[in-house]
Amino acid sequence: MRKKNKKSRQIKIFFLFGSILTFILILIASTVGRQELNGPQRLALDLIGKGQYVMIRLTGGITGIWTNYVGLLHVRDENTRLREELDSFKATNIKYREAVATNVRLSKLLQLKDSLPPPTLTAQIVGRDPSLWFRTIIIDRGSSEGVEKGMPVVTVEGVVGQILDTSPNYSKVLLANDPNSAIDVLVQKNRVQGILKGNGSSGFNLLYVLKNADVEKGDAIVTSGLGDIFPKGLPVGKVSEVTKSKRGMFQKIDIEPAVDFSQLEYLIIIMHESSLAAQDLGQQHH
Amino acid sequence: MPVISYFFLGVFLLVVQTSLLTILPDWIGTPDPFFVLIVFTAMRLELVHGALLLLLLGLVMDIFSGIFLGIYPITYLLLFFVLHGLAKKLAIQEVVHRIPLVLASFLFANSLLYSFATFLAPENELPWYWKDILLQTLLLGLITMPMFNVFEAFDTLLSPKKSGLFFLRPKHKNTFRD
Repeated sequence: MRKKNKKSRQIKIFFLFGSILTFILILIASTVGRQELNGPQRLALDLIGKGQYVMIRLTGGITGIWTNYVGLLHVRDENTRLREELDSFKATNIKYREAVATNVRLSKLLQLKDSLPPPTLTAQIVGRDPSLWFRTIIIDRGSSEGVEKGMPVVTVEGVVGQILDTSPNYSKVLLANDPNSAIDVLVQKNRVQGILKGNGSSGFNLLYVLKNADVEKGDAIVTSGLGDIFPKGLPVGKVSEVTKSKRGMFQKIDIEPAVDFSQLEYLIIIMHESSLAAQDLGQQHH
Repeated sequence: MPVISYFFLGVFLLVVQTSLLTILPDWIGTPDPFFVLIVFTAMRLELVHGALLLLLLGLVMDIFSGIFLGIYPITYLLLFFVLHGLAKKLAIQEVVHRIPLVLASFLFANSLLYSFATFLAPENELPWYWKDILLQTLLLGLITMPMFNVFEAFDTLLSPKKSGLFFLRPKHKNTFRD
């Protein structure tokens, strides 16, 4: 009797382990190599994104208090200098406002409205990739605000990357310096095209540029607009080194990014007009 | 209970690591207490609990790092089974072996991640960042002992017999009443 009980217990344990193992294998097999998050993973991104957001706010608060304390030292001299600067900036600002107004008027006159970049959305970085092998970041904007996979992310200086995945309130961005990122670009001066790949550290490599193309150190590189991901003419970086080896058809070109990836804080997402229209429709329904 | 507690501890460490610790200058690098927890739990928990926990933490890590889903769960599970296998044959749980064990595990896990990433996208040449790896290894070596002590304390808190929390302690029967 005892032997029979022991055997049935062994069978039960065997089945339990078998089921767990099968579940794990199915889970892994269905996940490996996929590049899109599923429902639970989106939920997890949203929940942990909130944690990261709180931490970033906390850090900002602490840094702010420290900066305020340091700022109190020599505050009078600083104040006088800043007042002078403010006056000068006010004057410059009035000039710029006038220039912007003129620009808008002329743009309308020349019917260039269609070629202006579509609406944008600002986002804050709440988390960075902890691994050595990938360059991604988490930002505090998600699909509920119309953010979609593939949308370009930029700063005032230039291209940062593109949206890789979204949850309702947070998104993951693939930085342009990740080796898995590829962007169609051209050399601004002579329109020579190439593919910009991240080198994993802080720079890029410009690939598939023929040896006879005239590319020199200091040449500006901008997006080509091909592939309908990045708008045409966004600054990417400058050529830092050109190597023409005896073998092969192409030059080896190193690019120094326009953006300092270690100093990123606030970013701009360039929205698709279609996603904004869909969002508007959704809001009307609600 | 330990799986859930360690899971939340892991998520908390990951949040701190990806947000708060990134303000450190680049030349210092970012400490990786999450990885120390991976090694600690791999050695401390029994087979089913440990494998389940590392699978869950791997799935969470997938969301916050990299572009290929699934490589972290596989890496952590492989690391777990290797450490478990070694623990049966060698005395790697001794205090003096902690730092070399964590560093060796870190290099092993990163070699796996590098291999998987290269295998899944062979067209994208992934450089082996010696400088970053050495810096990260050094940092990991520095934080291993303090983090192990923190995790030991956490483990004591969780274990009912040793717990300082009164509600976790086992209730003894009143033998005189029986």
